[in-house]
Amino acid sequence: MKQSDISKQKYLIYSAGEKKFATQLKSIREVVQDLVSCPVPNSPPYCLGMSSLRGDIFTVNDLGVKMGNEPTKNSSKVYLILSSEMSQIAIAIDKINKVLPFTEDDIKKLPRKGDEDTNKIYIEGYLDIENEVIPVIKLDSLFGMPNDIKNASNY
Amino acid sequence: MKLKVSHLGIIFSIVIIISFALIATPISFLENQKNDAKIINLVGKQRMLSQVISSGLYRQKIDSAGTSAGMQEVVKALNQFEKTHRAVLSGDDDLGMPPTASKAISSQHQRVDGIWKDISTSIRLISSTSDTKSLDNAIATITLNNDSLLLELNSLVKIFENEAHTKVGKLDSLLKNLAIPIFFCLLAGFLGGFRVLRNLKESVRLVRLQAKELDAASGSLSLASHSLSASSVEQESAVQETVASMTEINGIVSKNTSNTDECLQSTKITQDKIDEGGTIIDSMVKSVNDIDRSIDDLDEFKRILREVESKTQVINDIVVKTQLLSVNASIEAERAGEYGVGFGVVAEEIGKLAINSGSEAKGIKTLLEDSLNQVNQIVSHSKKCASQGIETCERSREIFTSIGKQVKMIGQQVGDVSEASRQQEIGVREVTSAMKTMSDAIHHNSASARSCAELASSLTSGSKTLEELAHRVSEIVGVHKEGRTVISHTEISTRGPNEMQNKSPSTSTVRSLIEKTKKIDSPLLDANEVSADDEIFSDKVA
Repeated sequence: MKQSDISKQKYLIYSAGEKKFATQLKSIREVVQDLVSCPVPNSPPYCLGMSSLRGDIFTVNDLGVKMGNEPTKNSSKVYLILSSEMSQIAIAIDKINKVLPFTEDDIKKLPRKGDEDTNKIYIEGYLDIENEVIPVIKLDSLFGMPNDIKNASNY
Repeated sequence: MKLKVSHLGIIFSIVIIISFALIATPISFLENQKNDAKIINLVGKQRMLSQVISSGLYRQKIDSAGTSAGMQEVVKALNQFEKTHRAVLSGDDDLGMPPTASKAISSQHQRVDGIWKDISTSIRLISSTSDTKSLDNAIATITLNNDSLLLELNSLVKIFENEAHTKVGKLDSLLKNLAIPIFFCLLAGFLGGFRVLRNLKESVRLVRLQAKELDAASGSLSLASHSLSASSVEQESAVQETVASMTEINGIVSKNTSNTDECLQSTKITQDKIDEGGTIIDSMVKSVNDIDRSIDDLDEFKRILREVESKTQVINDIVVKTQLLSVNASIEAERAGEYGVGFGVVAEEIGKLAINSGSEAKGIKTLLEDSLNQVNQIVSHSKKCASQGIETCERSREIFTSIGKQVKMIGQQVGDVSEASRQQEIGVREVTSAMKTMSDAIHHNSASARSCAELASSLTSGSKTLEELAHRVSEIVGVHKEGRTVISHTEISTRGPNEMQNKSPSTSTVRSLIEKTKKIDSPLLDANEVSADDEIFSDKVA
């Protein structure tokens, strides 16, 4: 079983609001539930604030708000702590659905368009899970990495 | 002072007594006189005897042969004298002389006796001793005493005569004294008698008048008593009818009373039932309240459910956490690479278990929610029903109380009715008894009326007899004027009952009643016959 799954990669499927997303499991360091974030002034609306976990400080961003959902303050959120070396970001999502292995082939890539920068950066592709099309997101790209200096200077 | 017949009677009796006395005294006196005459005769005879004795003695002397016959005569005369002499004093039955009581006579007798003793002894001496000496002695004695003896005898006779005279004189004086008063008495008696006779006439006339009036009055009394009898019979029948209807009423009223009593009983029973119902409703209210409270206990259950829910929530949380943990474990396993494959599998399994638990927990949660909803529904429904029930109970209780009040009122009213009907019963009974007494009284009245009618008729007949007697007396006394009126009297009396018949009202009952009374009062019819006889009699008399 394991041998045939070498080519498969595990993807975490989660939902933020009504929309489902998928992300490589590699890019996630940890999933926690209770994070208290202190809001930072002059921050974009999807930025929930800063918080600390075992001594490490993170920026907490809300995926739902980023995706255009209304910010829901009261619901308990699950936080994905990204395992990026450069930045320490936690993404607030609503629910974790599954962990599924997928091969490269499963990720259906969209045809490239002209305005490719933003698209290309954070949607890797789409997964077809039980007749549901779920975008595979690169979270670090979505929330502005230091790699992208241009984006960083906007802040 | 009216001269009554008793006075006249007294006077006449006095007169009779006096005349009797007048007749009796002379008769007795004449008797006495006869005796006295006899005595005088005897005493006079004594003189003769003494002379006979003396003459006999003289003859003896003269006729000295001395015939014993002559002596015997002398002795006989002597004995006779002795006898008479003794009889003057002490009485003798043969001679018919009573003993003397007069002192004068006895003293005179003593004197005679004194003289006679000498003579008698001397004469007896002669008889015993036929001696001329004694004879001479006797003759001498006689010659000596003859005159004195005669004188004494004369005086004795005189005394007797005087006494007889005095007696006559007494009687004579008495009669003379009584003659005038007796005469006056007789005169007074006659006058009184005349007066009494006049009074008697007057009284007889008045009696006749009274008899007439009495007859009229008795006739009217008879009429009145007839009508009274009739009306009392009517009254009796009416009262009997009333008594019958009163008894009916009594029966109905007693039935009424018993019915109202039953009604009262029923209302009492109803009241008791209502009270029972009230208590039952109270118990129902209580049980509904208990239901309510037990429903409130369901809240406890709800709390428990909520607790369970919260616990399930915790489980859910745990499940979520476990899921996260499994994800983390997968991540770590991924990080570990090939070394973390087994761990990854474990994590996966854990994740699956977590998901299962999660789904079960969800199922539990849904169940809990459902049950909670159901419980809520039940609670609300039951509470609604309970409140409705309580309301209904309250309403029922209100209605029951009002019914109870009404029933109590009904009971009171029925009680009043019962009481009233009992009073009514008592009243009706009293009335019945009063009616009965009245009936008895009327019966008595009727009997009395009948007897009254009879008495009236007898009174009528008696008055007629009185009339007749008065007429007779008047005849005797000498009053003839009212002879005619006797006939008119009887006519009136005969007309009396007939008048009654003609004057009666036309109702058949009254006539029948009168017929009845006529039948009852048969003496009246007899009186009619008597009066008819009177008519005949008076015709004859007139």
